[in-house]
Amino acid sequence: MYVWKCWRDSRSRFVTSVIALAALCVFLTYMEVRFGAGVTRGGPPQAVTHAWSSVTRVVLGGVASLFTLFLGLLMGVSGPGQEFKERTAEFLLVRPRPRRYWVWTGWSVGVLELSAMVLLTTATTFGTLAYLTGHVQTWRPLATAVPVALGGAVAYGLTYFMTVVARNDRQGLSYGFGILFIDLMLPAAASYYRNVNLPSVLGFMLNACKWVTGATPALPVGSLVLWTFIALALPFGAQLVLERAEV
Amino acid sequence: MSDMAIWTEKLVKIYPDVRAVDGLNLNVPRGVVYGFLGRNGAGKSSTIRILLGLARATEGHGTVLGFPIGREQVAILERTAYVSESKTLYGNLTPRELVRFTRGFYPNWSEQAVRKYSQLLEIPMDRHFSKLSQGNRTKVCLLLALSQGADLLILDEPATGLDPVVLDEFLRILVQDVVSEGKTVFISSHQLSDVEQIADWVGLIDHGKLLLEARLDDIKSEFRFVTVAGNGLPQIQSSEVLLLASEGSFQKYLVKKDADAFAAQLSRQGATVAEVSPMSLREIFLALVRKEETCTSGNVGEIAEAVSLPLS
Repeated sequence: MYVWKCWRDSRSRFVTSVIALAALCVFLTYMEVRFGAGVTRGGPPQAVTHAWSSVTRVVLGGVASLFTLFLGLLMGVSGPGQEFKERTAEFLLVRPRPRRYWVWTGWSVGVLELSAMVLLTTATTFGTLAYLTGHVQTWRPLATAVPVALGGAVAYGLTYFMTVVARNDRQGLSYGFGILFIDLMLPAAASYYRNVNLPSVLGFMLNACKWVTGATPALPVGSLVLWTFIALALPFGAQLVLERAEV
Repeated sequence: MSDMAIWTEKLVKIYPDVRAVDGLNLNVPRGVVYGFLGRNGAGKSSTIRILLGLARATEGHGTVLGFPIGREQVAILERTAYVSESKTLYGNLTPRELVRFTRGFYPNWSEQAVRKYSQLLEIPMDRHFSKLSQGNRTKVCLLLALSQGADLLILDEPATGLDPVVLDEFLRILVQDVVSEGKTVFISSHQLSDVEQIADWVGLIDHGKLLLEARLDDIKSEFRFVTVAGNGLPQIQSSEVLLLASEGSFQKYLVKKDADAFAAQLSRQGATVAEVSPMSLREIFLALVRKEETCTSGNVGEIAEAVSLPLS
């Protein structure tokens, strides 16, 4: 039914994104290990640990996080908001389901795809790293996928919500980009000029990845809760808007 | 009110720039074909959107199949099939995929109906919806509606793009396959001749108001134009007189019942009755929706209130 349709609409984009993101991470991991850390297979343990840390920070915490945010924004245009633009909302909303069903089903499919994408990318990255260094880490590096996927879910939810509000996929995407840009720039400016720490989704993703490498001792629980709450509040907001929407 | 497929009371829908529905009282009995007739912009689609929960009524209330509008919308939608005026479905899906998408929502979905109507209506099941002609798009919408096993079919301008052969086939399906099983068909249209072929009841709407609601047979057998000559004719206040129009020295009364008695009454009061003529649905429709242009005196019956003949 709707799950099938959401998957059908997004599967080619999903496969392309997974391949692109995984290939990018493998390439960057190779570059970082060979030319950044200068580690070879079976190299000294200290250099291997350094390579693992830098790949986690730079490749996953940096590049993959940014890429996931961008993908999340793009993927958020799917769902019931897009139906208004394509004039199919009238057809969809007379199917016998409460309107929240459309919001949460569409959102869940997107978040699952995003999570799968991040998990596959993380696994590929660390698989490459293990192959290049000849050293296998335990579960901890895979935990990097959690903050990256959560950040992606926030970006995805942002466009998803704005698309429902604007009843237009392109406008929703523009608003999503705008808000995320402000969320990246404002905390940076506040920190630089006023020494004030404002929450930033990219900052959260970076910090969480640092915790994985051991660079930050404490797990950022507060941020984790805050961004989980925001990730869930956005589709809930979309539900409230859609339940009051007239076609 | 559960004996009615659709019942509304004083339904009002106000958009920022227009009063689309204005105190609508609908009584659609179960198991009939009900023609909901009106000009473009008369308020037909707005009414349907309210019934289906796509829009909220500004005032008033009602039920569909006994379920209150706006409160038990899922229950209404489970039992109601709807073909929208726009007939826009997912362009990237084929009719076969649209069937696959739709069938899971309805417990009474009939694959047998899909096979039967897709063959009967000659629907290309494997071509993308966006590549179909307007007529074929309409057919796909009708196929999905007919296969739902719904108790109520709400069809908004269902004849769009259909050629006469397919239209005839479709009307036959409605009568033979749908109404014969006790289901209700609510057709919104401005194509009077199509609706007239199959409707048991009609409701005429204009400017959001229901001008007339009656059995089609009663309209054909009872409604008459009474044409009289003379000046200074008596002012007759009667709920049986729907309309008075002036044409030169003649006055034309649209009378919904006992036209001969009404003509005799006019004669007794000094008028010369020129003609008492039966009317087609089209003539009644035109007479009622043009009332603003033709009404010249105040002895018109309660035109603002819908006229409803009792069920017999």
